Amino acid sequence: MPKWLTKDAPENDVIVSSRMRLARNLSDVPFPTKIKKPEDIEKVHDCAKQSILKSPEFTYSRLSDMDALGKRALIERHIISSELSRKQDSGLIKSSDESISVMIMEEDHYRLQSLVAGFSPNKAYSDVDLLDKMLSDGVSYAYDERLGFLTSCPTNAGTGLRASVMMHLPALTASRGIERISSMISKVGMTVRGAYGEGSAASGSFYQISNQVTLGVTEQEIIKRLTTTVKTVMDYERNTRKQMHKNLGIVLEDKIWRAIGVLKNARRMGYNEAQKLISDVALGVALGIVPKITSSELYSVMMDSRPAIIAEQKGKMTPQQRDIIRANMIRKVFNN
Amino acid sequence: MLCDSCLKNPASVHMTTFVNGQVKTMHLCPQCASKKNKASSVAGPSFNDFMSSMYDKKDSQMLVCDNCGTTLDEFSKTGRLGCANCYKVFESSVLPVLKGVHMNVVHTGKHPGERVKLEVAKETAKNKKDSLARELKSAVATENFEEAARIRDEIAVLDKEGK
Repeated sequence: MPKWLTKDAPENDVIVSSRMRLARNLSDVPFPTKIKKPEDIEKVHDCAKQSILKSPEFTYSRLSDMDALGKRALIERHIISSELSRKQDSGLIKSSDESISVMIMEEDHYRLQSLVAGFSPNKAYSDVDLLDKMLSDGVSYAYDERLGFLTSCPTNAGTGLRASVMMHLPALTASRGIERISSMISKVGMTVRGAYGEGSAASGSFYQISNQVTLGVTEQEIIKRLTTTVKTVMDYERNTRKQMHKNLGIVLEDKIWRAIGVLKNARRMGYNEAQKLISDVALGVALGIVPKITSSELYSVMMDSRPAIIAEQKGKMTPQQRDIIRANMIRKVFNN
Repeated sequence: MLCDSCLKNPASVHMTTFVNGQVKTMHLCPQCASKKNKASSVAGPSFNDFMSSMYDKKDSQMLVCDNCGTTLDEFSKTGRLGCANCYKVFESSVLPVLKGVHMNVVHTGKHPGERVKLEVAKETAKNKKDSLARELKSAVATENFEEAARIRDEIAVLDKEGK
């Protein structure tokens, strides 16, 4: 179970996690795409190490020292991007529970990140803000009085803040309400994407809502807008769920109980199927149809059953063997 | 104005370069300009179209950042800047992009070393109350009065605990 995924997180019938990311660069070193001198690259790593490793909960590693499986598992846990994993000169600092981390030498010198279970944007921001303060005390940031924090891509300039919330929206997916919401949200400077970021399909009805505008607004305004947008979507999802239950009745209940039947008994299970079935059960839990199991247990088994995360725990294996292990893991959770 | 290079044709391209912090401007005819900067005459991908539609082509400048070597052409193609200095060198091209994406180009957020104050401690309790209040509204709307009464009692308990 991911350590940051706490039980009884706020609004966890709809919201999986809240996440904040700050893009930061050093003032006197070219951005990663143009950095050439080895001593400059070392400076980027050293500055972060000196400022952040003072606190013993953090560890540092070079991506070039990790094996492919370990990198893949970090991507699946949303701790690093695939861009970072491909780079030779990149590094990672993370706290023991992985709720706070810094990607070093991704598109920008530093991508500071925090991750909190459920709907806690303020807590997530405070964590990343503290990390930013720790780093800024030891370095000189690329910063302009007028344009704010300078980033490799101008779309991140200003605050450098990307605030996002991962939501489970099965009812809005089924009713196609999500399409209406996407166009509404883009008008207020926000965006909806599949759970794995840009270009990824929303599998199992999981979506990320985040801000697009980073300049000309304060950090508080960005978080407030995100909060308001997420609350609107959350209400819409909850009402649609209730309406769906009212309209479909036993048809919906049957679908949910059948999902439980398969999860309790299957001997082989692919990840996509698992995600879809768990999504159905999570809807059942939220509607009070399914007793005994909680939303956080479901999110947890879903994250733990991702391909590279299973392989990280149990060693390298074929996809077929992995499907058997996944089915065993899931059966254990559902038969408890 | 005649072209600085061939001194024959009228100059319509104004080329500015930054060398050791010195600004040099050349006025060229389109033929000489394309000879000077072959890359810039190649049609770019969509980001290029997007950029060029945003700034006045008459003012188009073929710039190179003296700190990291990034060219304006590179920026138009990739959308990425090479260093903090690029923001100054390519200002006239970056600002329209910033305006297009963000609507506003003046930073109002925090500065380095500053901390942002947000209410964290109350978040959990407040979220719970907010969520109950919304459930109550929805229960009333769907005329589920039994449920509404239950939620109302739960909010009352939270309020008491708060005091």
